[in-house]
Amino acid sequence: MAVEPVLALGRVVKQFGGRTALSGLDLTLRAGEVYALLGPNGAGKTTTINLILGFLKADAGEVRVCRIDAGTDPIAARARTAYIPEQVALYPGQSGLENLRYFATLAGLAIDRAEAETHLAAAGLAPEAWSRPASGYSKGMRQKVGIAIALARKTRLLLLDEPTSGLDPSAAAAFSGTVRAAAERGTAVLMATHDLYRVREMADRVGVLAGGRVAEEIDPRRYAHTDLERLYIARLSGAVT
Amino acid sequence: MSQSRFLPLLRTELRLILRERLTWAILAALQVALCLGGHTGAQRVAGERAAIAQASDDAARSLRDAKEAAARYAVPRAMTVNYWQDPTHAFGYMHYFLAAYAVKPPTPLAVLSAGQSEIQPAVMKTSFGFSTVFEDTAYELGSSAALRLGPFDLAFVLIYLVPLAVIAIAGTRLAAEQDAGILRLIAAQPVHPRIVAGAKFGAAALILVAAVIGGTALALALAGWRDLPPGWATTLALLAAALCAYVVLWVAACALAASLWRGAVASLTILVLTWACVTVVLPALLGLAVDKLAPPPSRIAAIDASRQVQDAFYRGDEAAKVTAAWLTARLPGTTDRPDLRETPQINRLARDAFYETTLAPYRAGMQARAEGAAAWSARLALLSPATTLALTLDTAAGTDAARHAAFLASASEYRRSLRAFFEPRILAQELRPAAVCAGCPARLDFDAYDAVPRFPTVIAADAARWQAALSALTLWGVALALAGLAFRRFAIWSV
Amino acid sequence: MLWRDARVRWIGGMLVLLLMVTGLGAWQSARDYGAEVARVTAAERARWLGQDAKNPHSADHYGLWVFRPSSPLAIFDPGTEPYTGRMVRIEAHLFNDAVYRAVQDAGPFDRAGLSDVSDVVGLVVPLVALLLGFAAFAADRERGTLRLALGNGAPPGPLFAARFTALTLVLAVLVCLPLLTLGGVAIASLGTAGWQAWPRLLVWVAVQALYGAVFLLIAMIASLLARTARGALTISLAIWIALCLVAPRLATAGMEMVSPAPSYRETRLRIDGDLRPHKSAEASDARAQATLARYGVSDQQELPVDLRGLIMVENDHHAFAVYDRELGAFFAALAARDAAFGWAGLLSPRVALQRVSEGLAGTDFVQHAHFVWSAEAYRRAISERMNAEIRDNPQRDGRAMLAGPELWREIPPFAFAPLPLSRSLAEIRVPALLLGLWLALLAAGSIPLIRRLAP
Repeated sequence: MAVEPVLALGRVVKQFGGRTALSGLDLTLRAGEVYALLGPNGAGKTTTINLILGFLKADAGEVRVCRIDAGTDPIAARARTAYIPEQVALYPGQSGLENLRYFATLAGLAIDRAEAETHLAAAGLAPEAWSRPASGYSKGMRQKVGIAIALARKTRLLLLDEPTSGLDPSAAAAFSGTVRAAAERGTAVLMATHDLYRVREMADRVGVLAGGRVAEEIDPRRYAHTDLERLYIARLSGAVT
Repeated sequence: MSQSRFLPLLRTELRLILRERLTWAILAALQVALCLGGHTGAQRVAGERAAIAQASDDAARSLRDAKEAAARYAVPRAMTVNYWQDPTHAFGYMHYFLAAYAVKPPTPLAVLSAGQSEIQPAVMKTSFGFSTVFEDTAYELGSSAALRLGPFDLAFVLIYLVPLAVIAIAGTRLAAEQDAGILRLIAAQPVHPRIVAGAKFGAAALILVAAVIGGTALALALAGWRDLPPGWATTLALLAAALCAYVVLWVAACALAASLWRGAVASLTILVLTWACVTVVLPALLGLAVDKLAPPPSRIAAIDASRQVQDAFYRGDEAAKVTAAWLTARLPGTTDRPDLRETPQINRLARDAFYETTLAPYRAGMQARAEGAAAWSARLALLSPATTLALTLDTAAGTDAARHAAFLASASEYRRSLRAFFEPRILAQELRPAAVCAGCPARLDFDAYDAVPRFPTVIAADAARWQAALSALTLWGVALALAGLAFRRFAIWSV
Repeated sequence: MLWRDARVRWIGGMLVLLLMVTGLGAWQSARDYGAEVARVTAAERARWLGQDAKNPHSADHYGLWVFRPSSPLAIFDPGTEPYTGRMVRIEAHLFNDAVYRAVQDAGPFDRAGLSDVSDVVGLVVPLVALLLGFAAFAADRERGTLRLALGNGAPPGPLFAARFTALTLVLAVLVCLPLLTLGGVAIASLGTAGWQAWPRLLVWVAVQALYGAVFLLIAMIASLLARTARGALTISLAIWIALCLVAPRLATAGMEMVSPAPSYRETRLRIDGDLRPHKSAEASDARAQATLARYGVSDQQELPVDLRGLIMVENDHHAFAVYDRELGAFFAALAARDAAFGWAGLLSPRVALQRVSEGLAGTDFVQHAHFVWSAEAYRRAISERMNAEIRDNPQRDGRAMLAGPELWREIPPFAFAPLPLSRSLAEIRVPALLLGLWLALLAAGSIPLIRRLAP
């Protein structure tokens, strides 16, 4: 326990009306770690991300990013968090470069063109696309701009919401590589996903979210892909029954 | 921290808005509309000046005609000249030669708004008859199709089209980002929603204020508007402040609509319906309210009253009694002159006084109504930003209802002053008729043509200045209140 | 299914409420005006007949007032009535203006744009049509249900036709029912003599429904074109603003540039200028001398007619000719300008509707001019009769001729017969055709879009 956790969720409870989305979720994430939150639709993955970003406040428990309470000081928490949503939507009339510099300005960073190009290159966006309007970008290209934004931010925590859904296999593979590279630079990565195949490739730990809490934590490298899938389905049905 | 984040963001937003083709298309269309409004305003003002010049020419012509006729008839010759053809006959001159006009000249800012000018005349020929009961019968019978559709003046562009341009540019800021899903990525950045919204709507406000003020100035310059008499610079500055407030108010309304987080369709619908309510529905309701608070008296009832009194005057020996009483009141020492009662001129003066007394309450009622409607309109105008600005532009242009009511009152006063000028002279001529020469066709000796009072034209700069100040204050108040509400609502993101 | 939609119920309810409130308000005013006019007209007739014995020329000056009767459909569309006076003082020598325009006595807000039913139809019905129609296809496209429908073999043509018909029916019910009800009430309770009120009402209401259908079609085309409901709404609202608010005012600015309005003030000054020399002492004297010469006498006492009466007849005939020439040209120019406004219907269906609506309602400028000239004809008939009485009864030794009730009774009451519906239809043929053209062009424009309908 010598290393301070980047993200710590302790007994987090969140209800929407009469429906309980999270019922005592515990989760800790350290620098350089990639954590995959698995779960069916409605399991509470997006709620968890919204709580970390401070878009929602927990009814009970605490959510801390680098020891900062995301519920009471969401802006400070967000300053330490980069987030790539499932659908990275950009200003369609602006180029990838302009979008990156706009979001950097929002984050309080003043980055010049050269620096922006470095991040786009690191995110894997082909140079000929940098100055083209984002309206012509594929989902993968937009996601790369999202990664570039995250890279520019140099945050300690990276949140990914269904990062590989809708990506073609080569783009997904490239994305996996980028995430691993980020982790190796010391970034803690939390991703909410359905994609067991990529989870196995990227994640150090997998939490199966069921019944509003992590029903089981799995080391994905111990299992073959088909075994992982079987285990995941078994955990879910167990949680349901 | 906030300020250091806000200014770069504001610059970025300014760049973003100015790079959109839609922005330039809207601003260009607005500029064209402003120039067209300025052009129609300049044409209208030129028309009003031409009408006033024509009235002045006609007055000069009538004076010339009278002097020429007086000179012709002052030479002995055999010819019958009836009193209505004789300028040396004070009564004949007053009723048949004199062309006296009450005029309402355009103010230095008249180009701004057509206001009441299309339906209320700026030139009224003074008449001494009572056949039409009221004096405000003059009007320019024009194309009613055009009157119904309304003028394309600067006021129309500023009051109706500027908010639409604001809505088109600022109406879907943040709401469009919300619909496109960009908002989630924006919200994930470490920045307060108020700073993002402030930058987005602040940038829109800066661009729109510059476009509207600059565009209006350009439109005025292109319309040939140059000089501003002393005392009007403050009014112009206050008008600009009111106009800025009007633009900021609509930007704030856009921000408030965005802060409801209902998406662009709802934002646009809310804003356009709000615009329709503020510019069309609310003024229509205020119109109904003014009619209730200052109901117009019946013109037909007054016509009926005028006919009753006319009927009474000519029935039996009423005319003789009225004339005798009038004469006794005016010239108490003439009881030994029963012949005076028989003269048509004295009979007519007595009849006019009789009619005037009978119709005075009706005329006063109508004048009070015009003033009441103007006063209530000025008060109620503050309930809608559109009517507030409309009233301000009308007042600056001198085409407002209050100025017209005052103009009607001064036209009545002028008519009374003319009557007061001629009455003693007519009486004197009837008492002691003196021909200008023996054997001349000229019957009497009236020649005070140049001493006839002239209508005192007034351009009250104070009303325009005060109205502009009140309007600027009100509009800024509403704009800041809306901005404050939006600011409160932007406490959190809705993602 | 549409009736179950809360949006439709709200929008429909508001429209019906607006139509009923403005319509009933106008009906109440029309009833009050009609009653007051009837009372004063009867009193005027009684006063005319009850005059004491007097010189016929004095009676001519005494004159009377006549009032323009309104079409019952003026409660929907007062047309030119508020801008033109409806009361004319009939008196010797003067072709008086019709005076006391409603707009002159209204407050400054009354021209805001919703003062009568025709304003509501012109402005609000298009908005309602657009709000009903903008989501017809765009919302389905956004939700993906259009893909589902087209992918499962639903033919786009019948799909469009069914939706358009359903929406048109809803709009027709919302617009026509209140209008027919109000129109029925107006016809039953207000004077309708000579107005062919029922045919006018039915055609008028049908035209309003047609106008609504134009905007419904615009909304549905926007819905076909736009990828999202937001896009369709934005296009629809922009079109509403352009066609219903901006284009009408542009039409007035354009008309002023293309054909400036003739100036009434200048016309009146010209008339005064033409009449003035005729009234001078020299001219009167010359005419008197010429008359004596014509009859071959040197003293007016020897004339077989009354010189004063004869001169008055001649003077009036001179004035009639001047009025006919100048005011005839002026009224013709204004009517032509109003007719030219019909072509401005190319700019916007609202401009076309305004012309069609006021023509059918019987409140257009042509009806006003017809009233003004009818009143003038009545005035001339009185003057002619009174002058003839003086002329044909020469008085000797400066005595004034006196006439009595027999002469007053010879003057019939003023009766105004409005121009028939057939004339109104002829007057509005251009804007009516343009309104039809809008509908036809929009329908034709929608066909390729329907064929190319893509999810």
